[in-house]
Amino acid sequence: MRITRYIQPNDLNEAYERLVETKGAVIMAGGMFLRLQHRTLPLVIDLGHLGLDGISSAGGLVTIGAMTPLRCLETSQDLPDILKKGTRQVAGVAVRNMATVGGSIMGRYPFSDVACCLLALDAKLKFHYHGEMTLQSFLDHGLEGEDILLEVFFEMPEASDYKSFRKTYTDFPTVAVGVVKRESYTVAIGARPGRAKKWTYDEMNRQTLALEAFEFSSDRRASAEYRKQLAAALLEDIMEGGM
Amino acid sequence: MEVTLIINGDHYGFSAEPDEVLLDTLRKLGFKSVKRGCDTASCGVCNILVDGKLVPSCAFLTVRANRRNITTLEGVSKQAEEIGNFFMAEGVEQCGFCTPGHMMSLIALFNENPHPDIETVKHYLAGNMCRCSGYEGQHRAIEAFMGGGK
Amino acid sequence: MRVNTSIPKVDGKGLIQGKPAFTDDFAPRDALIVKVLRSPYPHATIKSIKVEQALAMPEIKCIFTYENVPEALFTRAGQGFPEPSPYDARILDRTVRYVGDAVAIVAGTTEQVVDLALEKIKVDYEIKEPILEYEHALDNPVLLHEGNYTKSMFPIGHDASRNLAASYEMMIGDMDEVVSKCDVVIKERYYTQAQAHAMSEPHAVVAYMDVQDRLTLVTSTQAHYHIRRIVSKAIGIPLSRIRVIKPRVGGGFGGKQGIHGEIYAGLVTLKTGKPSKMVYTRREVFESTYTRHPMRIDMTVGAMKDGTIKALNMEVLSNTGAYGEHALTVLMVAGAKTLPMYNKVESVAFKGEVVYTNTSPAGAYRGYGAIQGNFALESILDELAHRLDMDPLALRLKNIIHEGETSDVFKKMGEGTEGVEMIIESCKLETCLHRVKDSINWQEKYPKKMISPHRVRGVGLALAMQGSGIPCIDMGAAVLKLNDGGFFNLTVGATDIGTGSDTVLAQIAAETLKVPVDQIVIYSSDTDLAPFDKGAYASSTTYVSGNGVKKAAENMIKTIEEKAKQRYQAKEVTYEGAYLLVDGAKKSFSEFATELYYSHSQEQLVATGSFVGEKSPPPYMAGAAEVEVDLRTGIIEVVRYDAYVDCGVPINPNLSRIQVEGALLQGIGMTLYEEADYLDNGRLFNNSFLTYKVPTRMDVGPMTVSFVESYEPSGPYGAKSVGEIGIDTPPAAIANAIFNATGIRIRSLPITSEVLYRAMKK
Repeated sequence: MRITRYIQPNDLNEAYERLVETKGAVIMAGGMFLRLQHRTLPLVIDLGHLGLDGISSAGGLVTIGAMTPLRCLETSQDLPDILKKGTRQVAGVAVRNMATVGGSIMGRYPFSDVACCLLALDAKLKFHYHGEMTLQSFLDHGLEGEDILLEVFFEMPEASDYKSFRKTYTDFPTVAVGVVKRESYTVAIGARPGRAKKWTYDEMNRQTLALEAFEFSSDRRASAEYRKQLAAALLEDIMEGGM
Repeated sequence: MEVTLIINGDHYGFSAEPDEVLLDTLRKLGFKSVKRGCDTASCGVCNILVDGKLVPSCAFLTVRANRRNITTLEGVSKQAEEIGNFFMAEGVEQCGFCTPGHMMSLIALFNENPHPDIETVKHYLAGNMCRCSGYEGQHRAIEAFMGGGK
Repeated sequence: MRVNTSIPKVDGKGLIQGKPAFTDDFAPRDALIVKVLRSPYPHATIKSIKVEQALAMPEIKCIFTYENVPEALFTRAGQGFPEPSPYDARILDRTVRYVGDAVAIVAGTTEQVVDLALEKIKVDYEIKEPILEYEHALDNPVLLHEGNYTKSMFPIGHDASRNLAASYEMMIGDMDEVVSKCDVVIKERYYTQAQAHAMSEPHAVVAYMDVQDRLTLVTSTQAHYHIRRIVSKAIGIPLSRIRVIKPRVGGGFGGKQGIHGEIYAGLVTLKTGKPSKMVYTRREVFESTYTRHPMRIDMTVGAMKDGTIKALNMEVLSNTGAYGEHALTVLMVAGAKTLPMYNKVESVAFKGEVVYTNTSPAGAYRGYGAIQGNFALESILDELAHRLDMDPLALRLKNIIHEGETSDVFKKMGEGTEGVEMIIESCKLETCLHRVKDSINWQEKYPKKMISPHRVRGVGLALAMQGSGIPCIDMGAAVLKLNDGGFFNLTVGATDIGTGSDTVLAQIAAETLKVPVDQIVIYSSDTDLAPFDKGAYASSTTYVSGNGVKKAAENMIKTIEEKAKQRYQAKEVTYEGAYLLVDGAKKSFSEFATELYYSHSQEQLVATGSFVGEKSPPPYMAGAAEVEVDLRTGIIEVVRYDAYVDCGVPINPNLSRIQVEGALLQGIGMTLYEEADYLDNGRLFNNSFLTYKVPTRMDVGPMTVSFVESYEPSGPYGAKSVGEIGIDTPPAAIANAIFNATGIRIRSLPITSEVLYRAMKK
């Protein structure tokens, strides 16, 4: 990664203006994936001074600032189990102190544990310019033009759980399953290897384990058939765990 | 870009390219305890504290660290020695290359949580790779340090 | 006692404090940055290479291509001269033979500028057909080393016209005849993969011209004297004009037993007169240093119904990658350090071929063939036990080697050459087996237990042996110097790469000299200031270098006693450490030593000792794994690993234990997690820690290592070496445990969950 210019604006509007007017400008949140890129970035806009971090909870609505590090999600008392579990094995603590919720979402990474958890939670996003939209919609379609993610929010569920299969503890997931219980059950599966997708069931039973609503494919990590088998086992473990 | 780095309590003026990372800056300034082990922030040997938080210095832009408090192993030698004595009693510091990164992780952990159980310690250190020791000796040493021991 | 005692490492404090101690910590501020342009193709020739644009940059100080480097042919392998590896490499060649092979060397003032220069070098490649599958390499029309230029220093079965880097065969007894008389004959094929060392510190070297205009290399290496010799040969400067210093090294495991960046930085510094440094990126470490030799092993065992093993036949195809370093020796160790464990056979045979492929060169890696051979041998013995309806433990007990015995394989097979006959004078393998059986609770757990409807646990075991140095070849030396006050400088060539050898050798010296360990100041691994040692490999440091130290210390005592006789005009002097007994009267040794410098019979007392082993007494190990398998998914978890090791008398039990624990986890990594995975275009897919997964502390249950002491009379204070033995047992122990748990036999590594899942489904 080469950077030609770096700014750390104190004003959100300024950050946005610079983003849209400069060709090739990128946002730096945690910067964890940015640094792996082999290209020259003409302008990097660091969002670190905009006060976009923090977790708040009021009347059952949980709001997480886009610049909140994943480690904060892992240790928060105000978040559902799915998010705490879902962040525990994203690399190591040092990386999680830098990687942010916003960065995990904006990259639309197929292997993102955080995106999978938030999808199961039916989370919504709030952008500076585009306003609110569902995470699902953003994951499926992306955005027209540049924008700055401000926060993600969702309703606290009744119960939730998350399990993934990783070759080693700090690896990317080969496949990941998150379940959220409200009046019905929302199951989200990530790293299929495609981006997380969700489905809602009135109840969870042996039929659910057939995972008919989900598509899996093969890559170097696992074959489609094995991924599906793994996902079913993870879901079965979640169900046996009391969901 | 001109930055001021507060390293182990001292102020350093430094001129950095926008893409320079703290790992390189710190080593240029003489803090050789901070090591480079990989290209992908995966191994933990470059761990330092920024404003008390454990971070990989290979992924932290120097320009981003302007006016922030940076701590390297050189700055916490007393705390490190206390834990280090238990490492040495086990012979765990083998090649020693990963040792500073481990020390910084442990210091960050104990600052956050003075009395963790061993499982919490292991989870906290999961991102610190040690290829020499097999980790068992480290855990023996840490448990002895925490007063437990097997 | 200073031996068989756990004391802290002599460098422990400095390492804990993060003091500058590693190669890059010593780089001068103005050192030129050296980088290497590397081939994007697995097999190609350079039609043209244009460096003008890059050279035009004022910050670029020199560029080397195949057109302007010395043409000398050598082997990169860090082995004793004459090396048993083929001479098939040049500093830079017109042909590139793997993705990551060196194409050009660039030196400049900053990293950014050098990166830019690398992009400006224009290379026109003629792409050639690569060989990526080693099972198709032998006699393939595509040749890696074409043109009849490669050579071997002595016959090693090398034939580049067949892509054969090395080959070897031997047979003891009449195999066909013996097999024909066996009740049961099992033949199976096993595969092991390319594993990466993944040591903490990437390869690094600093080069500068000293005040005597000699090239000094400070380098992260395991074999500094070999580095000096290879640099001399490759660059064409006299040995006497080169100094190699090894500082603290951040791990090697064999990956630094050979020449890497030293030639590049050496060339740059010689050309420019300026200091230079090269620090490998992690990607370069993965792609362009070494991996373990992948092997295909056809293993045959013939036995009688009662479990007596009569015949063992091992046939190996080994993949040495693009260059042949360590090809023959790793091949031979696959048999030489496994087959002797079952010494009651009537016939034992070994045959192997090592082929070239267009992949990263394979080289030395802890275990060095023994771990591959062990996987095949210890797996097939469990298969035999199963066929005979016999407990695998009982089968081992019936057939293993004991103290006082020998194996015909010792005499036949050395490491690259003929072996050395050896009577085993220390062997507690049987005790290790009994102890591990009890500690893992084999009686109760064998073969398996259902934990839940879809989780089952099984136990499995494997035995292993290794060696203690290469007899008649490996030499380690020490020099002792007496100082005023009575303390000693001990200089050794032995290379501490994190093993703690500086500490262990100081302990041996202290024990012999009857002084506290802190009266021995050790300095190691400097071709100018310390004596020769072949380096840290072949599990030689404790046994070979340790014996050298002991000899030096014994010689020092003789020298002291002689001198004291002269000094005090005495009839009889005995050295007792803190004092001398001079005709019965006590004299302070410390005073004696100080007077020797300044006032009485002044002389600098120095003593040296060198040791070459006449044999290679094996350390032994019994390892038992308890695994848990999820029957729905094939996910395997090692819930527990128990190991008992006989390494003679451990000089420093803490350090010996950590060596074994570390090796164990590397062995478990090879068994379940690690594999260098090549894409169809020859590129290494997993060339970072994001994709190459080594087991973390969370992935494996408790590993418990215990020692069963034996006494090796030829070792220093009863010691044998311990550096490699720990890595050998996990592949077979875990494969056996999985079989016991699930009835599924996996014969190739790594045993991933998907591999097991598919096998269970069938």
